[in-house]
Amino acid sequence: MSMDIRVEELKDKSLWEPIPESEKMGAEALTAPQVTFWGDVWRRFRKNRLAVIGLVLLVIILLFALVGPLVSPYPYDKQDYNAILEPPNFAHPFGTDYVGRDLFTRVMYGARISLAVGFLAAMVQLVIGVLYGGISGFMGGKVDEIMMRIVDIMYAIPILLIVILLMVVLGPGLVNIFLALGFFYWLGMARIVRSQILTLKEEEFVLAARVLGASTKRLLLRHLIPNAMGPVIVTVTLNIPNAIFTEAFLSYIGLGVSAPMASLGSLASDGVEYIRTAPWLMLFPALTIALIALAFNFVGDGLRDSLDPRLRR
Amino acid sequence: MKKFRVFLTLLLVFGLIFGMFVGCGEQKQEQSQGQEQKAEMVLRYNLGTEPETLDPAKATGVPEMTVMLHTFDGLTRLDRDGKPQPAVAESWEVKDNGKTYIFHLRKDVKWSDGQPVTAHDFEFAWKRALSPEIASEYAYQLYYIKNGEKYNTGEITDPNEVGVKALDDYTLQVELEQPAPYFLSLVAFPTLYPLPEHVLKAHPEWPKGIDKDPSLYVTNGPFVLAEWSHHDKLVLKKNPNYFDKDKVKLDKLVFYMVEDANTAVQMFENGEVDMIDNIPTAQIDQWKGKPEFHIDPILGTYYILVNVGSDKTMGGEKNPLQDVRVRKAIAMAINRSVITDKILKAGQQPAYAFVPPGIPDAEPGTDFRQVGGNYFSEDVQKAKELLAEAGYPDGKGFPKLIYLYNTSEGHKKIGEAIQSMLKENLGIEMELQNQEWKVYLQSRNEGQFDLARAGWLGDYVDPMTFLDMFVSTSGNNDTGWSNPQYDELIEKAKYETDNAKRVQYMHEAEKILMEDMPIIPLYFYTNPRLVKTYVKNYAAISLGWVDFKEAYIQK
Amino acid sequence: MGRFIVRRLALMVIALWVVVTVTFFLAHMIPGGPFDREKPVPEAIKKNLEEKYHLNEPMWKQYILYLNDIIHGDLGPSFKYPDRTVNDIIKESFPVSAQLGFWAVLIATFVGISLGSISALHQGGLIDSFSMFFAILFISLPSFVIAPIFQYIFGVKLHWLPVANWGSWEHMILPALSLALGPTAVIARLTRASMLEVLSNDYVKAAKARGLSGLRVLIVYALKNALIPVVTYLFPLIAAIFTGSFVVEKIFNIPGLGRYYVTSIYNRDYTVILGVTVFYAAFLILMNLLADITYALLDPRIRYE
Repeated sequence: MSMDIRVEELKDKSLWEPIPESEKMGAEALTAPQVTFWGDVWRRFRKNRLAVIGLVLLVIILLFALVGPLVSPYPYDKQDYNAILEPPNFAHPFGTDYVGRDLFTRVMYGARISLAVGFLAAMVQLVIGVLYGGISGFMGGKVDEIMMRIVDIMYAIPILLIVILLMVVLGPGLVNIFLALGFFYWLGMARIVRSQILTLKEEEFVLAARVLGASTKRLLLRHLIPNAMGPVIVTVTLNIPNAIFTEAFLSYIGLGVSAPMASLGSLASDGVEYIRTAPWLMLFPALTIALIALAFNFVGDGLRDSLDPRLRR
Repeated sequence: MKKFRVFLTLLLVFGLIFGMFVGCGEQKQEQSQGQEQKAEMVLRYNLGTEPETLDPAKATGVPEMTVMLHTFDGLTRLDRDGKPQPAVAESWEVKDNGKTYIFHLRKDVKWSDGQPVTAHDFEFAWKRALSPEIASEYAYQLYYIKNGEKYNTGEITDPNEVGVKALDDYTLQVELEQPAPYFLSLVAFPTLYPLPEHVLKAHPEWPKGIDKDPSLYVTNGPFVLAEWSHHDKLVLKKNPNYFDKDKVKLDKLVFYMVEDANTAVQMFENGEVDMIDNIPTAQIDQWKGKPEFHIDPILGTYYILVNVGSDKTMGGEKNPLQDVRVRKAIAMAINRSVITDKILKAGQQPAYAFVPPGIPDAEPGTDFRQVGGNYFSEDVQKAKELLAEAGYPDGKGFPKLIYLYNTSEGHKKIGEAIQSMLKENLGIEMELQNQEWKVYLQSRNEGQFDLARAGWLGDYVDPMTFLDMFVSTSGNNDTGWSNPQYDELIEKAKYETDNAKRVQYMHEAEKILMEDMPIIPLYFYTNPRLVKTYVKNYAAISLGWVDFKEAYIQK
Repeated sequence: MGRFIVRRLALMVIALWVVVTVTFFLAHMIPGGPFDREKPVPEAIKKNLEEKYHLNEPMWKQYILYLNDIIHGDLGPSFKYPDRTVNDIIKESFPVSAQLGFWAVLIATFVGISLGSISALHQGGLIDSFSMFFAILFISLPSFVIAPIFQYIFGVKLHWLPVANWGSWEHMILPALSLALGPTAVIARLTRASMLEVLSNDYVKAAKARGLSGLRVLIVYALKNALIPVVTYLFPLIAAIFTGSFVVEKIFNIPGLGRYYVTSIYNRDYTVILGVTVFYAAFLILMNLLADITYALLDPRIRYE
């Protein structure tokens, strides 16, 4: 059926228009100026208003996290028993916590950890998850089955067991959080990519590329994966808050940064108890997480649109 | 057509799954609706967690204790001051310098199935709890009884050698290994409850199956089991066969197992539960001064374990904590009232000794803590001097310490405060390390810490339940500290029958403990509760549980 | 297709064996045992306990014993709850979690797909931005934050619904909503993304060009093809949600299976850890098999040979 439509389309006169005079001049000028792939992506990304807003937001948060603590008058662990649970005011724009620490400063420090975690989780998904799922879906058959059963198995084994074991063997530390996240954070992505590839690889353009002799690597990296980017980007960006809270849980168990340092996730989790008595303790860290998520989402959507081969001109 | 097929498939999948499970749920609904008909006097209390078992021989915790306190009566029953009062036993004789007890049982006590409770039921229950096959965790509560330990450890195999014997249906003779001054309190505990021999003979796996058939849970207390829905609720109803039933006013007791403290408070506010323990610290301010807010006593001390047994700190440097001056400096540099008033807020008292208040001293009407007094005081200046004397002026050269705590919001807050105080007052750097509960227990046990938080709740109302933890051979002494003089005093106190002397030994022992300071006391626990004003006459026992036997509701 | 399913079921047995083996040894490797308490029990008593539960045997022998039991369908006794067996625990608590999970998945799927489709059709419009903001908001406020807020608003303040506990349909609303929010957001975003991709395909453009109405294009051409990533997400989600959520069940005091996942590990209740894990693994693998079958139904070009 799709063939018929295409023929009909060709017959439709309105779709055709004469080449403007200006372009008729000199056949040698027919080629557009050479644009690299990434240059093209960037050009289209810039045109996307939301994407640029997201990028700016991300830069602001990054500055807030990296530079903020240097100029803050309070250290993150300075307790002040005369200023316990103060609501936001001039001295403490985000208020103070249960031992009188400045929440603004703590959120800035926390954002460092959470940004790192969010970024790492995104990378783990994009690199391991996408490649694993891509290969599994593309190869199909026995390879696919075995690769997917491995994912099932890893999904089913209780993460908490591994976390406790890691905690005992490695002790606390941010690197250990990264290890733990890296271990399981790509599983869902692998599935999503695989399912996308399963349908995509039957599409005409892939068959065409195959007929033209494209290598497996080229097929996967240039044709299949870029076309699967929509759900991939959505999954990555929506998983960022999830990763930030997973980190909070892991820290809570004892793997990760130790108190009094805290990530945004642990600040928000600690604040839940105070939802009714000192809501700012939960509100500001959660708001920051939401902003980070929003920024990543805008950038992600923008990237998707600029990477989409079908939208490329 | 294809679209229809997909739709059909999805529908089928959902339909199947739905049909499989929903049926079970609906049944339950009808049941719970049927129960709320008459205007009964019902009290709803949050137990806080699912009881592990309702087998008196196997139970160990406060939730199990709270339930069984209402379904059973032992030889004695603790009153609201924690003193043993006659229950199934109406009187007793003490012979052989406190080594033999003869209990005379009431003749009107019945099991909930109408059978009489006899001395044989006690003998049967105690021997059962001691038998190695039952593998009771609290069997050591029966080690005071002659040959109890030997039978439990398999050293002897004949249960008849155990020193408990029914002389006739209503006379029970108990022989002890050594005199035990608190034995009459001990017989009020679940491990020493009687069990219906006739039921257990027919159901050797008892109490397996009581959740499906509550009538199988044959007991002799003020209430009997009506329903047990795991991790949801446990319902007790008044026992018509109870010998003291005139004092029981409640028709029904409902125990919920809400683990989330915040949820429990919201349920309380919404009128879904009448009484809860464990109020989140974040919400205490908001309840203070309201008639529902109660601070009930509980025998417990929160303290820091100091690792004095290891030559090296966790960081591999020479362990400064082996110097008693350093330990004292740390103890003096902590501002306890900040912890109790600003962080915990529930009326906890700063602790300058180990044994908490609420335990009677030798003289009637006096308190062990008041007689003993404080053993040290907070003094930052003096703490600095002590630290300098020990060779660390202003904390110079002092190695970084690891402060170990088990995962919990509350422990974290206290750890953070101590860390900040030691840094500010003494220049000592401390790193906080939290571990999951059982990992923490193991680290503590293996001495993998410099400082570690710890807490202890009394098992019975006597200083001994606190003091015997720190004898050299105790499994609870994770500090590596050992003092033969201390061990000797505890040993003497254990077997002394003259109460004045016994208490004196314990005072002396506590003094040594506080002089050497292998532990740094921080505060004495309290038990903050929310209780609806219409709940009357409940007995909050300082060992952590509440007795609703004579409680009632007055709206 | 039949051969494919048979092969997958055979693979499932192997996968389950791997899960049991890995979990068994992991569980025994972490420090602490089921009978460690703050007040340590005397050695002799610990010995009695270990003998009773065969914990004194060498590890390989315990493993063989366990495998033998599990082949016979016996998941063993719980250490923490000595009067209950793991079979009982699963039998009692799974229906509760599944019932709750069913409603949560239903809400998430229905609302998620609808919102996602509408957003895609109105790309850049008000509804689109609105659903995006809410998706991100709900994802940034996980259930342990949302649930207490729900309890406060609908229970304490408005008295519309009970704060917690289990029994009637009123008790189910708040936990089901709390469970559904996150997945709803993900499904909406996934549907929107893949819908946009599908809508930019030639055949959809052509259908539109032929003058078919937006809704018709959506349902007949786009939705079906856009659903594959949603299905990929949905089936494991069903496995996860039907077997219970620890956080939601704990906050709402629901007697479901989810509570045992985490607590059994904290308790070192080995048999419960293993039983619950195996149960979940089997469920998950079956769901993924269903997902693969669904792909083939949604897109007949997909073949598994």
